[in-house]
Amino acid sequence: MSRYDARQAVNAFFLAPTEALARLLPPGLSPLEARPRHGVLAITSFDFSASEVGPYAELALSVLVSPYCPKGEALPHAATFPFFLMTTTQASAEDARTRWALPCAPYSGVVQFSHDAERYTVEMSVEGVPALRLSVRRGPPAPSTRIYQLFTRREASLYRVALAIEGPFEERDDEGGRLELFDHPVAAMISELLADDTPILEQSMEAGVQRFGVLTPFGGAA
Amino acid sequence: MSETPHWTSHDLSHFRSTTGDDVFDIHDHFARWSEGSRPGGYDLYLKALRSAPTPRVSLHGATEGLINLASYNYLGLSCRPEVINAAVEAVQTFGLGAAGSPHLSGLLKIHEDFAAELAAFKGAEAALLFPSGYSANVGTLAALVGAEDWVIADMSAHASIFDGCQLAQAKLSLFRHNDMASLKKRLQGAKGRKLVVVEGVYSMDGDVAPLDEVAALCAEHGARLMVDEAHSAFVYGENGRGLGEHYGVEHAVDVHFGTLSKSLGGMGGYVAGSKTLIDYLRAYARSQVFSCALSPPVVGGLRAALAIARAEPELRTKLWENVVICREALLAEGVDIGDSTSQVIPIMIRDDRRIFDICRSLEAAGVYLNPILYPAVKRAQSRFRVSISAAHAPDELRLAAKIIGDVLRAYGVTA
Repeated sequence: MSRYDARQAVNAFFLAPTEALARLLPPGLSPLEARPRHGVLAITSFDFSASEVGPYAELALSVLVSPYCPKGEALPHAATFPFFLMTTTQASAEDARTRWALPCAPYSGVVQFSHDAERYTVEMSVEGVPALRLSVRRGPPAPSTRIYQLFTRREASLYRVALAIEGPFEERDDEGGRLELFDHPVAAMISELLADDTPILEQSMEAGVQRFGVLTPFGGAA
Repeated sequence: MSETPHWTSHDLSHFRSTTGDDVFDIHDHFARWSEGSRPGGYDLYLKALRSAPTPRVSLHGATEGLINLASYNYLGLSCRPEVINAAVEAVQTFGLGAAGSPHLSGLLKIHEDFAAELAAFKGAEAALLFPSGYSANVGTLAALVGAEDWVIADMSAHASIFDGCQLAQAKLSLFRHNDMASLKKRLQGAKGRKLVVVEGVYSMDGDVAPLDEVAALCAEHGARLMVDEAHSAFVYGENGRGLGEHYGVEHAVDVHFGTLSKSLGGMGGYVAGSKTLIDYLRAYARSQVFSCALSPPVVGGLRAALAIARAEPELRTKLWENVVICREALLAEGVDIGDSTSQVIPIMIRDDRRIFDICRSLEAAGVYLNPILYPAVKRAQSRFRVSISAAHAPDELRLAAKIIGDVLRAYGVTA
């Protein structure tokens, strides 16, 4: 198990047309629909205070996909396929690419977390150019342990890995999240995908832990 | 602090759209979840009533004579003697089943007569009957739109509307619930043929669509308009024709959809509209073409129910008086009833676990309600849904409100 200690996490989930999301996925994976003909684009961000590659922050864009649930295995809470990841250090980017087959962007930027009494906010910028600002509302967190399934791809090979997230966690779907997109290619990519810029689900966590299982080949060629 | 039960890490939304080595693999996961969730509260669903859905009901294994706030028998017609007698007469004349699709041998005179009576009531040129409300929405949408067309629907619309869009493979654009700015944005973004679909009364919140504004936006953007009046037909409007009549925009609605299971207390669905629309649907609404026609006793009872609904406007008056009585009594008890303005009144609990315990306490105290929680509504928006009927006695509603207030206070749930 590889452990990543998160000082904070800010996540939001948005509706996007299923067809558009399907184009981002390798064969063998399909978007999970939250509404008819609408899948989910996830923007997730973590501020890691400790990991095997030191402290760093990251922001990922993922598609929620149908989980793989064979008999006898634990049922994951959700499954995702990250198609974009930006981390803030060279070591973490290398770790993401080589160990987890994650699509880490070739540049590093700044992922800045902040909060006030009512909201958690994350801002991403690259070389001083702001890309996005996401804020979710705060509320009373509850202890939670969830198992997620992560699908990743390296060239023609598809992998899956179990990811456990544990910590004081909050989840809301009362449409209080806010996303601001600026003049940046990453923001443009998000904007083109979204059906609506208000998240259908917001999550936040303080002082939690991520534990990755073993990366396992999945299915046929991607 | 009690430990969180394992089954609460998942909910009904987690067992669809999965993959595995066998298409049945998910059944084991679901069975394990069910083992925990049923004693945890899900056993409160699928409990058979031992009596008719009248204002007082009996539950299997529970006390007799519970005040029934869960059935949508809005005008109290399902058990009216005239309705029952008409159903008996129809079964004696036509038998239990129609024994065929309407296109072949299944169309009986009783169907033709009832469809004509419905059309006349709605002020429409024609009407078409369907086996259920669900099949009416699914079949109608699948017939009217195709892969190149846009359906622009309220995010809170009924599952049957979305399933119809799926079947049609239409491009679906969702606007935020009752948000006209969002609808306008969606209309502007949809290039091509478009159909807007809204409900009259939204069944989870009890709020109504701003149909005059919806109709104006449709006219402005060249969109057709379909209104699901499942919960508003026979309830709203001076003559009970629904929310279209209430807002004075019936002429602007192209497809009038309704159910026969709510205010009329029977079963089935209908679409009313122009003769050309109905003729087209008769040929292409496959859920109707490939289903047996409605059962004759049901249609017989429905004809009587419709006649009563038309002849006794005082039923609607009584219903709305009861709505006022119940709303005021619940508010006086400090109960949070959300944004309801209709005969559907949510009792907001906003706690997805304790709602089950509260439900059991309500049942023990004499009130029958069903818990509604995610994924049927948003997380932490769990609620009971009160359906008021004209058949409720005012004192029954006052007593129920008092019981609800007492139970909610005991759980610390206040507005």
